[in-house]
Amino acid sequence: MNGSEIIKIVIDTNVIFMAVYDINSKAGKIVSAALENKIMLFSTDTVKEEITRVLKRELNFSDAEINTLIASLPITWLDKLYYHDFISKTKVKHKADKPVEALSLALNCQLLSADAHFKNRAMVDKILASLNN
Amino acid sequence: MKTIAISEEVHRELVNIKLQERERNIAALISILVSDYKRKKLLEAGGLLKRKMSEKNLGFYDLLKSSRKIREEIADEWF
Repeated sequence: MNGSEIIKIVIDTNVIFMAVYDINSKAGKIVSAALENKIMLFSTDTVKEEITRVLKRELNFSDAEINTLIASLPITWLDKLYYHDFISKTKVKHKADKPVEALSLALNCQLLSADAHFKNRAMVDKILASLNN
Repeated sequence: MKTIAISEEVHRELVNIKLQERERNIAALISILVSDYKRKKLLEAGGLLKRKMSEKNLGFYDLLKSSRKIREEIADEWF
């Protein structure tokens, strides 16, 4: 990586939850790198909605608490308009996973997920190593 | 580049911190302060998440399992 290039990554729900749960985890280190503007993180409106519903339904977060948590994440949320045309080009079989892969195709960047459904997902260790170089 | 107006006192404080931290300029120092602030907010969010999970006796694996179910539900509604 040369100095002028910033790594762009599409991040999935499971990695986001891991990072929030433990900022010192590998996922947390990725999010910390985004807080320091060393990388750029993107995700979909579907992931944002998923997080919102989990927090509300499973953990009784208030709307204000959800907004605060989501605002604390250094993630740019992109809606369907950005990735819709790439849904048909995705390789992942599960319909629910397609938006995330489609966004990584639309942005031409790596996808970071803990979900084995994604055969082409990025390896967190590789990303962290590239940040240390 | 943008300019912001700050009081003499805040300016003095920032210059002192810049010297202490050996930062190259105030802009670099402010960037670090902003990152630290965001990290603090994220840590607070993590603390709240853990507290609520503990109150609900919900493990991390359970959280991911619920999340997966909700993902399917959103896909059915939106696509």
